[in-house]
Amino acid sequence: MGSPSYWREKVYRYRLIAKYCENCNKKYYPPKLACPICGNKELKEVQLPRIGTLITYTWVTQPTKDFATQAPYVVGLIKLDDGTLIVSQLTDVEIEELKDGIRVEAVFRRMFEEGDSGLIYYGTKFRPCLFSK
Amino acid sequence: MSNMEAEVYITGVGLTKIHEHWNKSIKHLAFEAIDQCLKELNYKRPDVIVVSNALGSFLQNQNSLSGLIAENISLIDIPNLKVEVGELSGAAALNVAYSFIKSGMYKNVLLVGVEKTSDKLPIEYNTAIASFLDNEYFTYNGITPSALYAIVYKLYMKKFGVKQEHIAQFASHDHKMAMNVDHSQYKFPLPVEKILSSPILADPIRLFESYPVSDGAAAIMLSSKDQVENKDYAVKLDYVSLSTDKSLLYRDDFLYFKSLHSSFERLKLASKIENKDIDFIEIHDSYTIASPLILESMGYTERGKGYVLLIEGQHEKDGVLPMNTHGGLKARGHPIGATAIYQVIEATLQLREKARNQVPNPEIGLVHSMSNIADQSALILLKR
Repeated sequence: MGSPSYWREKVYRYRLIAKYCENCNKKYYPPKLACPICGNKELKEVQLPRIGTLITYTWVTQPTKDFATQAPYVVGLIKLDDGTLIVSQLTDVEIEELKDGIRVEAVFRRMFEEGDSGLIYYGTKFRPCLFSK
Repeated sequence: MSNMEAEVYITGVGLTKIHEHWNKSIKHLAFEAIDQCLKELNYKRPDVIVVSNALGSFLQNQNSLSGLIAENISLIDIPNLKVEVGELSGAAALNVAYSFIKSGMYKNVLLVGVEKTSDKLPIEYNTAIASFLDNEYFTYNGITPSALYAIVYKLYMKKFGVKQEHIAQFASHDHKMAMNVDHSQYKFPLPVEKILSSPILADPIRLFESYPVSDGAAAIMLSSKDQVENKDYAVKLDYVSLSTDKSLLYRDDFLYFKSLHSSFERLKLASKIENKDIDFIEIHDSYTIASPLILESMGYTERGKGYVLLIEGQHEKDGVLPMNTHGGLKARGHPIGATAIYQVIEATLQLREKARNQVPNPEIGLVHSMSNIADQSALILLKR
């Protein structure tokens, strides 16, 4: 991965910017260029809520190279409070503490590094809400 | 299809055993499969070569693969091309080869699927497999195909109250079928207890509920009707149906393969057949949970009951719907870009009545392939 592709996507990754189709009243994350339902190309950029409910989760034992040193790590399917579904890593949590239905919030986190002297890649992960929300 | 279009036949087949072929290169594997296929046809020359390969540019750092394969077996002076559509590569390449003959452009098309996955360390292989997902948002965030299937698996068990031991039996079925198949990778029984005590791949998926690292090559010759010489061996490639769905997160229902449903509806309409007319099926069961979802999306069972036919023994060679009679992805193996070609050859052997687990008097066989979580689905209908 090079820096242009990183810079290009960072606002969507850091701030959870989705694309919204007014015709279908649907939000798409990852963001899309056209609505997969009606084909509308005039999609609006909207910020997703940074809080939601964990629908279910798994943990990954066979990662890709970028995440080699992080496995096993937890991946969850989250329903954000506006109903948008997102798949994300869960962090700051022990596997034993997880259960379906807990409240989770988005946090800014390091994803992986490109060797000792390469770029450090950041993004969004989710963690159990620190205070009840 | 109108009568104006040419009929398409499978006139020759060749394959290598699926294995971790440490001492053979990707070119070598393709060579063996092509040579075996052409030998069946007394070395008839094809008009074009279509190669299916998904990971060569990743694992072998090799592009222009179709040219190298053609040159390596001295099939020069004819065009060649490579098709890549992830795990669906073989079916997509077959669709191209089928269209070449349907349109009348070529009379004999050599189709070869090849994959060499054991050349690199497992972590490189996992990285290559993850490249089938949207790199910018899934792979970037550490989301792997097995993680997505694990989520689907948990949702399925929760929604329908189905136990994992029921779903894991699909892997046992594959192993039982593969035991006497020459080209299959695993020839040993795999009881459910052993599956459920194997290491976790992505919870709840156990290692033995997923496909192995497989190398292999498979080749078939597709020909127009006037090129058929051995009528006893030629099998008609009747229809190829491909369909695409929205990415998983945009779907209203995670537990139904809409792309498969629509490609099956189109196929049934075009070929004037119904579910009960299918004499056997080869499915793309990359994870055990895929099997019930495939059967349910095709309307063979009610939602949440995809394992019932299996428990009743209806997927055995003499059952209502014989399935994966050569071991499926789990036990025959899953050499990614070659898999669908292996499936088509297995269906051809059934229709030639030369299969090891022979289905009694089959007339119609169906091959299923897909990429990711039915992001794309393909169905290939073969007739005697």
